[in-house]
Amino acid sequence: MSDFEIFETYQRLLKNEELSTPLAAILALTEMIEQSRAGTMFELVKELKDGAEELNLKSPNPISLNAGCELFIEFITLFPHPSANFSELKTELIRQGQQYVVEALTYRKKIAELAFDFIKDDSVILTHSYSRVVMQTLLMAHRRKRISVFVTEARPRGLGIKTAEKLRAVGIPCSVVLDSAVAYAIDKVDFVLVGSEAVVESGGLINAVGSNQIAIIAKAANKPFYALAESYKFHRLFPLSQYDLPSHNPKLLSFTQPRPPGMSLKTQSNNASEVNPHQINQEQIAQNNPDVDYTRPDLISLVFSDVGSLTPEGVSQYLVGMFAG
Amino acid sequence: MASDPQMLANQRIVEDLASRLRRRQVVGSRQAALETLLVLRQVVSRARFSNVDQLVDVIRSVGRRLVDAQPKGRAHSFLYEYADFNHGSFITGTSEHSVGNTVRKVLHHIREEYHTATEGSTPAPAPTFSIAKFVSQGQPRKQQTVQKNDAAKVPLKENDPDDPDSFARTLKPVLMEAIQDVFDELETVYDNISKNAKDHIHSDEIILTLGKSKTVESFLKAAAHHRNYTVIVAETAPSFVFSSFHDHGLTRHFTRYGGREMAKSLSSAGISTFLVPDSSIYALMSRVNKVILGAHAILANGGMFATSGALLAATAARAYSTPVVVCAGQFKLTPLWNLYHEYGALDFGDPSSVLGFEEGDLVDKVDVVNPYYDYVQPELLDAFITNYGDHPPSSIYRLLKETYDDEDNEL
Amino acid sequence: MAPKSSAGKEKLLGDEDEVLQAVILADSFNKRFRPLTTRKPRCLLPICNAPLLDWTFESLALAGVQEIFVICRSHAEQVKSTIAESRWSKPGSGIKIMPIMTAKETFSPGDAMRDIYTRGLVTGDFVLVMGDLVSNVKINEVVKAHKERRKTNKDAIMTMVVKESGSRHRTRPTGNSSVFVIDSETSECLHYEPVMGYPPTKVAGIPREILAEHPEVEIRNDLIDCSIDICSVEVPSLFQDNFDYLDIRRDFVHGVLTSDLLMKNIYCYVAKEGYAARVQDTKSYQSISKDILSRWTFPLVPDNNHPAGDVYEHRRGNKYIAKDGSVVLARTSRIGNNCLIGPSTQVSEDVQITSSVIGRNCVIGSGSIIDNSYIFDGTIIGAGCVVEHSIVGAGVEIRENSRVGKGCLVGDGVVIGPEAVLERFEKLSKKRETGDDGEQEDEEEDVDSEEEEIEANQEDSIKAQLGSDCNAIVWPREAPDEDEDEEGVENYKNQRFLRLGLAFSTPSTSFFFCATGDDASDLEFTDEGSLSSDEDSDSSDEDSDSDANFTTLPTSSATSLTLENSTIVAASDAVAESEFRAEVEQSLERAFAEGHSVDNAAVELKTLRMASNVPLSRVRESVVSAIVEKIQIVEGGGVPQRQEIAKVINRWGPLIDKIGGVDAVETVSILQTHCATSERLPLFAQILVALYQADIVEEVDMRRWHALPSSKGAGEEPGPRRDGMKKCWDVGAALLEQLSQQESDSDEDSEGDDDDGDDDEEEEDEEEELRRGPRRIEQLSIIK
Repeated sequence: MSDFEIFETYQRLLKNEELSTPLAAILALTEMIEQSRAGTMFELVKELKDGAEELNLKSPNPISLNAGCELFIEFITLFPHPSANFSELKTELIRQGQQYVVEALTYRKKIAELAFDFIKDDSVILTHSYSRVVMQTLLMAHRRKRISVFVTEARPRGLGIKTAEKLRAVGIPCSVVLDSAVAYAIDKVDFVLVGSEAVVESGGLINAVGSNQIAIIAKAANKPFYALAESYKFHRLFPLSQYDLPSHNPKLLSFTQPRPPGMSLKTQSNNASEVNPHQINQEQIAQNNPDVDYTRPDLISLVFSDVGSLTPEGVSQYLVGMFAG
Repeated sequence: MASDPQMLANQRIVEDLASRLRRRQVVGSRQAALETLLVLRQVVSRARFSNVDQLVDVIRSVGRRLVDAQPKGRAHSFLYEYADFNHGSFITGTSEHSVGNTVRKVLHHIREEYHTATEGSTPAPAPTFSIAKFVSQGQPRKQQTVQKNDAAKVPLKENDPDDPDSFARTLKPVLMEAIQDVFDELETVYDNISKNAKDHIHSDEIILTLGKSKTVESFLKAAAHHRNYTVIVAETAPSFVFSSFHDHGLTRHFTRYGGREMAKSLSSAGISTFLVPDSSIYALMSRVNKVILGAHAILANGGMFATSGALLAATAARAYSTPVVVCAGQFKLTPLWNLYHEYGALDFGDPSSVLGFEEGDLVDKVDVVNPYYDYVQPELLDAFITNYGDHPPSSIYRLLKETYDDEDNEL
Repeated sequence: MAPKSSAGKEKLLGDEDEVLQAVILADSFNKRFRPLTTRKPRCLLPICNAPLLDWTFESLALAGVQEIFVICRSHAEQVKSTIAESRWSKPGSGIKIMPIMTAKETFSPGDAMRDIYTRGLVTGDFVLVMGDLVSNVKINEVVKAHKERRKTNKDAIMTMVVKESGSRHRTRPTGNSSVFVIDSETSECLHYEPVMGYPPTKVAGIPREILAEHPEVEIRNDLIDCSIDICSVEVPSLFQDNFDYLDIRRDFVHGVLTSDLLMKNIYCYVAKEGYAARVQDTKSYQSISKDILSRWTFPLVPDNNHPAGDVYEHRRGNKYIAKDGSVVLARTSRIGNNCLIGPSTQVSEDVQITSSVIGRNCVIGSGSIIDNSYIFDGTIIGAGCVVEHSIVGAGVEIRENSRVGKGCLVGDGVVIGPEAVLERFEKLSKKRETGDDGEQEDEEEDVDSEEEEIEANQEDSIKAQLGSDCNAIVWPREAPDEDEDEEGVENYKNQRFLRLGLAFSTPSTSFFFCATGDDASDLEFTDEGSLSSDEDSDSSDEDSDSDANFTTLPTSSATSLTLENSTIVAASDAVAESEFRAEVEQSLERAFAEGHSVDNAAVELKTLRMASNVPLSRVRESVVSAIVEKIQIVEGGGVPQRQEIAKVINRWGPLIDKIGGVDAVETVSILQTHCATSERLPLFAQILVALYQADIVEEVDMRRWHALPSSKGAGEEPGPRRDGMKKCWDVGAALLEQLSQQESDSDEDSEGDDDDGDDDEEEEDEEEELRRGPRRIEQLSIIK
């Protein structure tokens, strides 16, 4: 086993603002191949799988990371290797991985161009949280069309504010709405545009928490709900409910047992400043809540990806093409 | 490359069809498809090419010209093309989608014929792999064609420097045959759609239809041979009927109340028929067993464009959970998605059938909107009956993939 | 390689052996669009961002026309090169277009038709249209009907396409419409009368035979004359034979229909479907623009088949925005309904555009308001401007905070502002740069001379209004004097009806059909209010609310009347006569204006007389009065006046005797009657003398006239007329006295009689002078 620290490599790579988690994971894995001393394909794949597992365990939100790892490993497994020279093959695989990342960096532009065609002049768009691909799409649309944007605040991380600030900086009229005010705002909206953590085999969407309720509201108001997803975010997963997501754990949404009065607060932190045992702070709420949620495919109008604009069902076709057979 | 007179002749027939399309002298999707096919046949028979790419280029350029000639006919495809951003601006709309569809279909057939013809004669180029390709095309294994050595095949030599025409000479008869196949398919489209009509319509049913669609008409008449049923026809005022006839070499159309003509035709075929005003569709829906509609174009998401009024019927049908069935030829399958976002996609006619020009006083004060089509969402439709079998809206995109090659979605 | 190349074309022609030809008269033969047309022919003016001529081509192509001759006159080279560069000249357009340059001397459609004849352009039935047509009418069906008719009736030489519109339709020209009398059954056009806004046509006469011969006729004033005529080959030759036909409607159609000699029939095709209209004036420019934008011309609409090949996106509310993505619309700009915005145009913040057409590469500055205006390519409008109901040419620069009032026409390249104010109906054009290329100037000599004149007459006060950087010249709002005698529709006052900027709801002519008593067939066009109020708004331009004055009168939009024979007393003689008079007047006016020979003029009068079946005396009346009216009144009288009279009488006097009979006594009577009520009463004596000197009237005739009781005014009602008659008679008496004295003088001379010598001598001089020249007449006129 090498002394290669895959998680640190991954963390380092993620510092590059442009790299999304699946790509960082793929790059980390290519570096792993470089360092690897594996002599056979079987060994190599095993090493990679272990590395992927390590990443999975160490990152707080591993879903899209997993999508990238799975893609890369599946590719390597299926890569035809007629030549006997294993080190040549490794070089080739490394080259493939790096080349793909370079190529994948252009996908956002492609998606933006694709989605651009669906944005009418003078539209009002609702978006959720912060997404690089959504940003790119909106910036591109702004250059040629008059758009205005509603951004949800996206508690608990509040990334919607980041979106709003960036949009305002380039002169796009923008307004932050509370997550709880989406239903209030939806009638003013022409369509909803969100990014994604992953798109799963059912065609459903995994994205920052809140997406699901926006989709439900949009459906109720008969507004199109579009998701933007690079194809490396296609994830071979078939969740049937929110709680099938790998990110779900029993701690989420657990009911705090009401403590009998008078009991000491041993279980809680030893924080001295604590005054009121029943007080709930934002952090607690955040901890007790999911980061991502799952949106059913029937709520999604279209998925824009670098391979084309797809109906949610269309996504599964690609996943089947890669992983089945 | 190609000699000038040939190029000119091609250009002339293409331009001729283009302007007739623009002037709405060719109307109706089947008519447009037939005309396109005629042009393509001439183009292919005249074209000089020494490899398949040249031929594909020629046909694509013709297709592009024809589609561009109808400013409303060019729309963005659902598969991303590496188009320059400057050209990628939103172009959409509809007049005759079947023109582009026919071109795509012919290209698909040509490639198919080419692959069959070249199988074995040229060694398959070593497949190149990349993750991107892996994503978009799936597992590499599937692409590897099983090498078949068929010595009996005439060797096809591409880019033969000694005899640049040899490739064309060998391939042309096959290609012409392929085009003829498409032609035959168009000729028989109504029969093929209607052949299972009796399975869809049962005795003593009440069927509601809208306006006049040749496809629906032949479908209903075919069913009438086996079943005794009733049709309610909504008149779709002031709808447009494309009864084409030839006059001075130009195809002409007249705009009339489509439903009236339809009712006349059906009742003369011995079907018990009621003609009703559009406004009564909802009221009658509770008694209707099935709604059968025609389509102008079937879109990739499973929705469709159909005579205005279709949305009304489909929505009313939804309220009563009445099944909505669409009869349409395969040539109406259009690999486009986003048309319904565009107001202009509905293709607006002149206001005269709504408000007489002689109403001078009003003309100045009222804006009259007279759309040809309704966009009907896939959720409102239950099945498409095509000459390639019956499909639910959700599998239309699959059908599209089989019918056309992805690279042609944007001509 | 080439053998099959024509296969496509053959298929295109189908079973038609004959190629359908069309002739486009690409010249307007009038100046309604000036100053926009000073450097560009009208047919190249853009409407909805495509040259008119392209719309016309497309209209014809839509109808299956395969060969087009374009007759161009002014700026012919420009037209020719534009056609050569257009897509029509490319292979595959399916249409052969041949520009024909006609001579500068072609002043009327009639001349153009004669040119077509002499060149032998057409070989079969052809479609004649104007170069400003926008239509989607299926002309080929009309052609088919026409040919069908020709099979049975060789005399059916022409079919006119007209469109039902209702009398108050925006596209129907108010100042220049027509009354068609159509046989309901055969749709033969039985009679045609032009209708003008000013002077308001109050009466349209219908020959009695029409009502007698046709059991059912429609008399319609609700039709738009599309100027699409399906003509047989004879039509150009008829023009050739009748050299005085100028206008196709007013002269040719009216002439053919009223002539008993020609025996030709003209038919109408009332188009039920389709749209057709001509951009014949600025008002129809506006209404046709609106019609195009509201899609009446479908499939000729910007988003489907834009004649210039531009691609437009159709948005809700009939907004058309160029689709190539080059249009910049500021976020806060507001584009109202029925607008068209050309490629590469920039619309800044807070701009409001309503019902307007903006050309290519325009810039609209922030906060400007463009309302119902038409802005051609490359125009820059500064911030805070207001442009209403106007046409702004190409490359114009309107600097900030300027205001362009209703009805203005701003020529190409003009720069005005900042803070310029254009009053209503102002016309501007760019000052010519010194050292203009001489060639151009030669070519457009007549145009330039007028421009020069206008340039010379610029007032400084106006200049100040137009801003410091202005390079414009202001055209006079009143027509130049010489225009006053322009006949009919081109009359300045009538032109006002055809201007942009008038309220569209103007019910300017209402149409009554009186079916009572003797007036049964009087057609009356009441014009209450409309003209006077127009006058109001004109004289006081501040009167912004002019439409309030327009009375709304009941109009009959479809005046199809089934006339029963019993109620029709037939057209009264008076009507026939007044119509005839009008004809004669027109004919003579033309003769005067164009300097026909006396013989030719006489032939024409004879034809007219035969056609109208009126007594000779009526012709004489008309001729005499026309000649008298031709004499200009010279201020202060004296010798110049006498010379003027002599000039006219010597030139045209002989005509009086050539109309088909000589009756000098009657001539004098008529002269008297005419002068009695005319402002030329003081000239009576001088004219009489002139006639005498021209040997048209002999002394005997004068005496006979003098003896007539009616000449004294007997039987006349007391009043100004009678007084006038009396005066004339007195003058005549004096003149006769002089003549007899002179006669006796000469007798005396010969006889040596010397009774009252002094007196006689004086008289002798007079007599001599009378014979020599009309110097003394002054004295005679004093006698009165």
